[in-house]
Amino acid sequence: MNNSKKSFALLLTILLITLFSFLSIYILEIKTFQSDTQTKDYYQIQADFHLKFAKEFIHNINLNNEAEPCVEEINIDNDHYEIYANIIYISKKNNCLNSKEINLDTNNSYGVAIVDLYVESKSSHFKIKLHERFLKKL
Amino acid sequence: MKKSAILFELIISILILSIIGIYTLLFLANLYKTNTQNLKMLNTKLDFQTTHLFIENILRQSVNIGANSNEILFYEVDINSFKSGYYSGFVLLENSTKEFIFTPNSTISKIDSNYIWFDDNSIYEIEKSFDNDKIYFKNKTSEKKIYEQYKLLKDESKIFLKDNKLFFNQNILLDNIKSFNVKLSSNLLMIDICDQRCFNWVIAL
Repeated sequence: MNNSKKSFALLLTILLITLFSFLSIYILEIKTFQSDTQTKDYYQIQADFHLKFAKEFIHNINLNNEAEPCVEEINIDNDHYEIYANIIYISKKNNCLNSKEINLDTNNSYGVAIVDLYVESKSSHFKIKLHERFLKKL
Repeated sequence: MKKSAILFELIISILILSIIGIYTLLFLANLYKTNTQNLKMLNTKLDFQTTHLFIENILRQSVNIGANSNEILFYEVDINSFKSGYYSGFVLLENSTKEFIFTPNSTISKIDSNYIWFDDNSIYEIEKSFDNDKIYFKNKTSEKKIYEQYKLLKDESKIFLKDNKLFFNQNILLDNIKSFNVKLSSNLLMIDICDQRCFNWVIAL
């Protein structure tokens, strides 16, 4: 009689523990998914802010300074993101690599710089890479 | 007497354990239900968030955006061709005419765009060209205002609600949508979208 009681209690315990384990895994999966989604969202928003800041920064620098060497790459230091820009020129500049030299009437225009701006997260788990190409008047 | 007492004790124990078991199972079922609902809500939220991000990105790369009560109309910039370097976006004004624009550093033959857009928001239809640094206008006789920078556009696109589905041209973005209202004020686009819950998106154009 006493053994039946113990077996019943044991069976019930095993059953409940098994159910609890499965449910715990299920709950943990959902929580991890939720947390992952939030972190990715955060990374995306942060990367977007960096992109806007870098674009504004590039728009405000003078890329047409004859006295200075040709700026073809810009790197902005950041702990969590790699922020860099590659620049190609369509202008009278002839000292730049990867650039198209054209004959321009400099009274009207000095040409443009084609800027490829990248913001890439350094995290190995949350990969975010944003790319924007825009023109900057010289 | 002793046996009956043990039997009674066994019945009571089994009864108590069964009650504990039933309540624990109910608790587990409740927990499962709550978490399943949570997952469903999370998925819906994620679908809405993704759609929001998609609409925001596509509008950021679009021009001539217009809206009426439940649809958004716009011209999508051919951003992939631009990023691939098929067109430079720069016009050499002195070499351009009202028949074509001269755009150095471009491979126009690879482009499949239908319109060209300039800074004053004017849009002109263009021809398929195999002359790599030139973009020909369809209407070669009309007067045009040409600017130094341009964007190439695909056909007119729209986002609209039909049969409880939110469409982007022919593609379904979201299902089971009850309402989709759009309001454009200066450079802000306000979207109210509802399924079981309602979301309010504000997109800066």
